Amino acid sequence: MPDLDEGLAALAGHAARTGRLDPAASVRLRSDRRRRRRYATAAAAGAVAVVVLGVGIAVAQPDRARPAPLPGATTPSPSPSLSFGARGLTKNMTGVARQRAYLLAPRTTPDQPGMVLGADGRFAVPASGEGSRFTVADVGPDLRGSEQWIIRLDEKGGSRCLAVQGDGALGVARCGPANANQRFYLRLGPDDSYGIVGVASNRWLTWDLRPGSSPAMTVEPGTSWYFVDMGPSTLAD
Amino acid sequence: MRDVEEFDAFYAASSRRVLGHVYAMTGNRSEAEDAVAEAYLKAWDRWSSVRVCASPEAWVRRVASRHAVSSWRKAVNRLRAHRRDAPETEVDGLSPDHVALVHALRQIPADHRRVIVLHHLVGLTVDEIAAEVGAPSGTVKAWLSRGRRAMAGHLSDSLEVRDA
Repeated sequence: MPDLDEGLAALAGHAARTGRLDPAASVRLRSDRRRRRRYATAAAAGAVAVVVLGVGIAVAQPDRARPAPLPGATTPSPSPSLSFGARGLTKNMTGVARQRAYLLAPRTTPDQPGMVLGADGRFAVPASGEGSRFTVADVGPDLRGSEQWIIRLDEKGGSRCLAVQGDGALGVARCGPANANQRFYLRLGPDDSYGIVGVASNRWLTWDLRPGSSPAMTVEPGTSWYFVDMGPSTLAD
Repeated sequence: MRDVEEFDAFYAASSRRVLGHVYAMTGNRSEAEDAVAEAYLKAWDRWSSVRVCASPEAWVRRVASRHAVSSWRKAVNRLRAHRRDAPETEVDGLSPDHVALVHALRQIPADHRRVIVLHHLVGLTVDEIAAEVGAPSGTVKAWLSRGRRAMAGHLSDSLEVRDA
């Protein structure tokens, strides 16, 4: 179809001669402007997405300030008949805080003596020796209904309690249940063990498994602890 | 700066030719101008990859023809209405035979029009057209055959009308 070839060539040539095309610089300028606009739109959309996502998470998890339970654990009920104990010894601790004394032993090494208060006022988990003894008292639920506990040294007078220090380490302080640094959530873990979570910091009491080292409060769930029943408390009288 | 110079040289060498090809595909000069402008905007946006492809001109032509076809389909009713009112405004300066050719091109499907232009104007083989339009060679042959046959019918109608 030679006529078609010639006819199309004439058409195209005519359009090429008479058609309106911007200069190359103008094309580049428009393209660059469009690209900048696209990036700005994408950045704005990303910012909006982040805000929406953040709001969505906040709405979906209104109590996210409360730490998640340990893996395999169930959150203890805030009911008055809370079951609480370790290694085959289950005690109802509600209202009987001063009646029993406990060792706090990491679940990974339950045969070791557990946490010991050192001369420096900090706790450590030694390989052997005698573990410090504690009593546990329920001081009531927080605003969301989670029970809070204080852990008191089982000693004459009973005036020292576990407290999260300013640097995040675990030490003792004069008991003051109103002090959030002395209140803890107890998250039920495997085999009647518990995660110990600071109310003020929302951090978990974690031991790094090195004998002699000190437990520290960490963001992620770490150690679960046995409350080993050692018999009547010295404060029970 | 090298990119700018390269692009400007490419634009100067190819843009009018591509405009002619796209005009033949669309039969509408303003549509073709818009499509070509859009294709070169995209080409500059991706110049680092377009400049190294086998044929930057084929890339631009492909983008422009897609844009034109898309615009064509969206505006087909508007164009038909426009043609009823002012049928020759797009082809000022053309001979009556060429006006008839534009009219015949407008009567056939966009795919047929595209392969006819690529074959008879750009000079591509069937296989090259198949690669450019992303269709099997057999389909391209069929489109070429049907398109030419349909155009011949429309052209003879136009000639008969003119001769009468």
